[in-house]
Amino acid sequence: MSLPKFEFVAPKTVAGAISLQKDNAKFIAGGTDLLVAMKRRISSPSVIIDLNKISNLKRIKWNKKDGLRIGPLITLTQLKENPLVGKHLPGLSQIVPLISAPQLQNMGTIGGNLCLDARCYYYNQPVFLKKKREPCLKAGGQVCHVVKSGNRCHAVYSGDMAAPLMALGTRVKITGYSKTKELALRKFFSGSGIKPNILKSDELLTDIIVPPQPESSGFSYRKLRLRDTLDFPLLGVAVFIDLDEKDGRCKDFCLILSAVGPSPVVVEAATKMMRGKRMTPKLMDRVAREAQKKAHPVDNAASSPGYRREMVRVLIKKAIREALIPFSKV
Amino acid sequence: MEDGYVNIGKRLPRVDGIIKATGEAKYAADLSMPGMLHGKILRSPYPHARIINIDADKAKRLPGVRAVVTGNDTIGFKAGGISARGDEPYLALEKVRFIGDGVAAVAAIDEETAEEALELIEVEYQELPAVVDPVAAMNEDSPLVHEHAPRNISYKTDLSYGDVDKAFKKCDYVREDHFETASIRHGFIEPHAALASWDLSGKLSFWGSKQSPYFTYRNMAKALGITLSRIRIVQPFIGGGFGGKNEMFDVDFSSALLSRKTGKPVRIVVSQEEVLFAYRQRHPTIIDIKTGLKKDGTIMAVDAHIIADGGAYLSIGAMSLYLMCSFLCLPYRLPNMRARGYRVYTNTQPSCAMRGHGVPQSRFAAEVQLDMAAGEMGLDPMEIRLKNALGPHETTPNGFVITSCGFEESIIEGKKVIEKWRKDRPKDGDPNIKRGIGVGCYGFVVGPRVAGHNTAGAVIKVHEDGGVSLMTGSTDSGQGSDTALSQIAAEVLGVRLEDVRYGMVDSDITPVDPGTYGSRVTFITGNAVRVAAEDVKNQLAEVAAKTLEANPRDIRFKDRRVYVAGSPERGISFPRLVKIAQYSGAGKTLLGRGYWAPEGLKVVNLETGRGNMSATYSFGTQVSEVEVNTETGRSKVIRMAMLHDCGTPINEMAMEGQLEGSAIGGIGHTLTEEIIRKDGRTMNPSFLEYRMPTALDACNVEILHTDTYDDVGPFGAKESGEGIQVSVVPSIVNAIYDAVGIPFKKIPITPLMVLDALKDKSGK
Ligand SMILES: Cc1cc2nc3c(=O)[nH]c(=O)nc-3n(C[C@H](O)[C@H](O)[C@H](O)COP(=O)(O)OP(=O)(O)OC[C@H]3O[C@@H](n4cnc5c(N)ncnc54)[C@H](O)[C@@H]3O)c2cc1C
Repeated sequence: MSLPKFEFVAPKTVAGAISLQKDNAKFIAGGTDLLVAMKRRISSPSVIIDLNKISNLKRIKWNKKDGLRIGPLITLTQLKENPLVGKHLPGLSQIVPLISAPQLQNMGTIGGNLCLDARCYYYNQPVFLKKKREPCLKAGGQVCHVVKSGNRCHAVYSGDMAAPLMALGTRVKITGYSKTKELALRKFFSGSGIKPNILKSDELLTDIIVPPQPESSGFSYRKLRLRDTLDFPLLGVAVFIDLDEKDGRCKDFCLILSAVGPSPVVVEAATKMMRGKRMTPKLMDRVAREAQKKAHPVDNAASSPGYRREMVRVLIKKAIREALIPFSKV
Repeated sequence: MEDGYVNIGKRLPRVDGIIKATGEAKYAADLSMPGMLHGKILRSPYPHARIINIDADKAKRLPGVRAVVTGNDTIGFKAGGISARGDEPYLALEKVRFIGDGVAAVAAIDEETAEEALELIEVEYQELPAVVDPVAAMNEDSPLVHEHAPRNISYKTDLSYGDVDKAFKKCDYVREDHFETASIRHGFIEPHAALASWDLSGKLSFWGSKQSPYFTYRNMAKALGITLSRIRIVQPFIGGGFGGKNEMFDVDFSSALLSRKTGKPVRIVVSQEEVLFAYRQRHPTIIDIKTGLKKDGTIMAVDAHIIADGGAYLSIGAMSLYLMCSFLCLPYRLPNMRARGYRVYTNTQPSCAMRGHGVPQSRFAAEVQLDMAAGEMGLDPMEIRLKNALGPHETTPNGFVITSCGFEESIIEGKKVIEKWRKDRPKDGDPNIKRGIGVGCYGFVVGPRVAGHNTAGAVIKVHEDGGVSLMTGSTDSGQGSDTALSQIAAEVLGVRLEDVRYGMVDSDITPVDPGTYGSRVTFITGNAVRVAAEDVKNQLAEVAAKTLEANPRDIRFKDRRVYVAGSPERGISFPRLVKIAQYSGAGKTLLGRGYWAPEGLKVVNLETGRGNMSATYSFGTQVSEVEVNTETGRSKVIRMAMLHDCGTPINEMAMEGQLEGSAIGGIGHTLTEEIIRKDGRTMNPSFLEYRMPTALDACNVEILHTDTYDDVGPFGAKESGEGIQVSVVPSIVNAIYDAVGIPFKKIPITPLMVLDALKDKSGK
């Protein structure tokens, strides 16, 4: 399979990259998502703007106040092996092996992972097999082949990093032509399968800032897949728990579901239900049921929606139990 | 049997190991020639349509395009496993019959231009109602995929031995079950690729990814209407075939046709996506099977009804159907058997042979049903197998004659493994994880003799420094046969494996050969190599006898030395002997020639199913242990043991590789692999979405072979790696049965199926 024709530029600065943007140009980081889409003729940018020459975007720094500052061009393997990450946020490095396969981890970046395009069985088919089907909403058409009556795109955001980073309270910095802004990662996603994030075409994700975590906190990310490698998540569940060590009550709790819709879902109700409470199996079960209501998988991935919905409960309980492990020792 | 082999039975690295592992080996897609053009194939976007008109003018006018060919440029040859019933044109003639059917081919100066040209070919289709479900296809009022086949039946069999109805009446226990298997892919990593070069003298040279190059040699001549002497088929390295690269395809034919038209070499490389949606698959099946037993577990009768989804064309399907049915007679004694099989046309990818060729589907049903019967009758699954196991010198009712047979030994060893595993099982930690152990058994052909050409040939040339060149017509599609055949030549000639150079197939030079299928290469070609090596050895022994003043019959060849039996000091080095033979007197041109085919077998009649397929049969027992997570429904195979009778292994290391591949392939077939289609359209045409297990999904595999020596096989060898595929699937299904008490009758067993079945079981 060959790539469609395109022009290639590799600027050395963020400003340079942004100024080179024109319509139908695309940034490329590791290329593990974009190049596949191009080979399938799902994406045919006229210009490719390579971000790999911008050394600014390839740093990891730590300070006590802000926590970790991760450049978007850091590869997943670098994230896994970085000593600062290992020291301050070991949970994050442990997610990397769950993503794709080692070769792809070597190329794929954390920024590319957050900016990943949403996926759908129909949309991601090679162009030939789509020929005799009307173009779908995501491809600029008027129909959705999955939910036929609907007028919404249900393509799934399937990145593995977003849910755990959101649970950890991550903020991101966006740099545009004239201004930069910083916002919570949970605000980064648009809720639309057509374009899952809020970046404008001439905006770059330039920083990923993970705040320092309280000593008394636990964290877990669980992923549902059918093979132990390569597979995108059929469901991802991230849990963050901050416990009052004296009375064992929940100071803070955050639950994120991923890969069940166009954006990761923050289960706000779960936070309310947990705050100030002690963790009991019953409460866990209530939280899990509540979360299940928020998951709306549709028939556009490898496994049936019913199964994925069913697994929401199972994975939440596993994730909570795992997040509680640090406390069981004391 | 002679002891003290230098090459046979040793764990020797493969002759192609280094260049394959380093990426140096050249596959068809790596080849190029000066002036070469690039080809692409236009495929049908409809599952079923009539071609009204093809207008390629615009495409031809695109700068860089050199030629466009369609069915109209052909002589209308149609291929098929039974030549007289050929139904598959290499480029569509009047109709297209599945999404992906080849319609036209383009040659251009580069791939991009060729791709662009495809878009410019205007095909006017008249859409026809399609049928994609094999059961629906058999309805009287279903659309016909081929007008000549009423109810879309492309082939049918009705095999009957003994008196099934009477036998069932006498049984103490009878059960009937319904099984289904999904369509799966061969999963070779190297896509189809072909390079053809037609010269001005009208000769065609062809390099292609073919596991049986002589299939293409014959069909290329027929499809182009030229004589065989004008065709030269050369085989590069092959990146896996598993049955999916036996036949000649549109890519092979189109490259040749385009080369003829343009006068330039033309290469076509198919994408992996095309491989997955437009080429062959394993027959999906629907199997209803009834088995009757005596109280003590003796199997008395089997009655089966099999529907096999053949897809759009006949391919090798008649053989597939016969194998599915007749292998109900192996590996257990079965006095009464009936099997009715229907291979049905549908508007989907054609089905063909795939590792185990038809047998895995029906044996999955039979072996799982046997465990269900054992479970209900309170019998041990191993005992029931032991009781019914065929042994040496038995003949099955359809006429398979068992000679060497280590089947019983394999079951006994399997029992030991199970006992050991039950003991060393870790104390259960997570209550949601259920463990289970299951078993499956098999018997398989070793180089079938079928109607048509069966003989393998070998030529050996000895070099004056003691090196040896070996040529056969057989292809190593990855199974390691180049190594095994070289070991055989080396052993007979008393040299070492590294002294042998194996030359790959080139139809101008190498002997004609049927191909790589039916586990025939080591066994049949191995014998031809043995004969060829003996031929040249005898020529050398005469010279040695003169030099050493001994009787030729007393000359021994071993480890690069030639000596008189009984007095090793009376000898010379092998290279020295070769030199003497070539240089003195008139000199000798040292060429050994050998050919071999299994003889004296009653060739199977496909109608009655009677006859003996194979000079010997392989056997074995497969044990698998699984963990079923009752919360997520996921099943994981955690270890396997493969206990098999492959005769005496030529190379244990290569054999282990074959078995491991079979084991892991079986995991995919049982748990994750399935082509998902919506309206005949493949939804998962990539290895991301088509879930073959990867190295990271593999488990530990213990391997043990029985102590069997086959009198006919070269150095006592039979077959390894294909037969055992038959038993992998049922062993996993039976292990899940053991773990959660549910016998699954449909594969792949998805997590959702497991959860639903668990719910049903707990009565929810
Ligand atoms: C076989 C396979 C399996 C995979 N499995 C998984 C999996 O299990 N889990 C998972 O999460 N992912 C998976 N992926 C997807 C992908 O490999 C990873 O998500 C990877 O981290 C993407 O990063 P990248 O740098 O390669 O992205 P790229 O392909 O370079 O970019 C992806 C998108 O993000 C944009 N982009 C990249 N960086 C920036 C930036 N700094 N600012 C603005 N826009 C930007 C690009 O323009 C592009 O649209 C898989 C991919 C393949 C091919």
